[in-house]
Amino acid sequence: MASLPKRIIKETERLVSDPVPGITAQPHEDNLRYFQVTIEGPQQSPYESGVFELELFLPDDYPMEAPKVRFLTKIYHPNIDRLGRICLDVLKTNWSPALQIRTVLLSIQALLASPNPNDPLANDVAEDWIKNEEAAIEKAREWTRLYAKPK
Amino acid sequence: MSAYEEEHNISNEDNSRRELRAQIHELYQENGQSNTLLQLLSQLIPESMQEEWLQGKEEGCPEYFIDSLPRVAKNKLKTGDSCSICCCDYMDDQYPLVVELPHCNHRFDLECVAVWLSKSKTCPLCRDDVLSHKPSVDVSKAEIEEDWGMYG
Amino acid sequence: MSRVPRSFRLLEELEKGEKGMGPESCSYGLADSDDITMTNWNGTILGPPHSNHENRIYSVAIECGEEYPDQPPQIKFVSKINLPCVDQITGEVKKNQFHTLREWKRSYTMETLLLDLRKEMALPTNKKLPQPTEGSNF
Repeated sequence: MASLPKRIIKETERLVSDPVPGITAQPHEDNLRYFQVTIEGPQQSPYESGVFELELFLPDDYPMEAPKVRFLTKIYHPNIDRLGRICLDVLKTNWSPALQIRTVLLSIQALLASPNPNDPLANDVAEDWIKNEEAAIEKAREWTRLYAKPK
Repeated sequence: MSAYEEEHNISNEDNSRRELRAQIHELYQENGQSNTLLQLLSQLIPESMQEEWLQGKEEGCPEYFIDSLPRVAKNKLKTGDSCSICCCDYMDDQYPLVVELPHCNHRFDLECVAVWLSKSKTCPLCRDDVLSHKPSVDVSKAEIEEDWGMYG
Repeated sequence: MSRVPRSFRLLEELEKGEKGMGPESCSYGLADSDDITMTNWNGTILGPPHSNHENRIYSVAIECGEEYPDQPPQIKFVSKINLPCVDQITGEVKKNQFHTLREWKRSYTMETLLLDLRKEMALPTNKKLPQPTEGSNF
């Protein structure tokens, strides 16, 4: 396997030595571009006290290309679809090579704190969210209790 | 090679033709398909190139722009300054090749930022549109008219 | 080249399949769009012209296991078909009798598999094999 770029090594070291509160990210031993990630649901959000598992992969062109990230834990959110794919501008058109794994994960945490049903990925969830926000938030809480139990 | 390229010997194009093409390209990007004259003109341009141009709307900076980025002298770099793309200190390199973007003045290794700017027009740090600060192209240049007369 | 993990590889394939960017002669998609493990897929192959398969649409079921794409998926015909590499009772494509599965490479995709099966149908030795009634299933 090709050697790992210095930047990825530095980022990985810093994620371990100076972790972001509420976020963990650890590379797989057999693939150092592939990370196992957990994000705690932000306080005062419907995801509070849930721990969500994600996976993150740094493609060959990283950092010229954004990391690929997906939720592994089921989550009820207008910008996250049933397969865990995330609709977030910095992962697509607004990516910049000055962003890092930690900034991406912080953006995802922020997305949990402020769902945006007007820019949906999971269309049916976004519709529910707009029609009846209170019920949608309740459902998001319920799913958090059901699927995002801390281990 | 397309018929147009063969006819006009584009594979051996000289610098002036390349420049001309860059200028038409620019017009194309600004006016797209809404301009009749350009539409006529575009019939002279291979389709593959047009497609590339139209798709290129969202994409990078021209090579000459990247090549012309001002270089930052070594004595203006401080120990600990690092490129936010590769995360390496400039001074780790005995001969750092660092450039500054226009307007926002953010600095990067040329090698790093060149790759990015070949597919984007924004500063990695502040998302400033790096191409928006240059003077617009003077379209009255005789060279273009000459060519239009020739092929129109 | 770095090794794209199973799930991101499958997402790429899914997107290609969803957007219809692949060839017209085959298609594939998730069997259960809620399945976060993306294990079971449905595919179709349009029978190649100038053969007994012409104008037929064959359904297949594909299972991408934990080791995909390091290991080939399992693939089985749902529509009845008479081919040497297809088990005539279960519809399963027999790994040892189909080169794409036998000599599987990580770079192969479900699309590779479907297109190669279509080529198999069009082989001179296979294209005139008598075929079961159209529309019957294993």
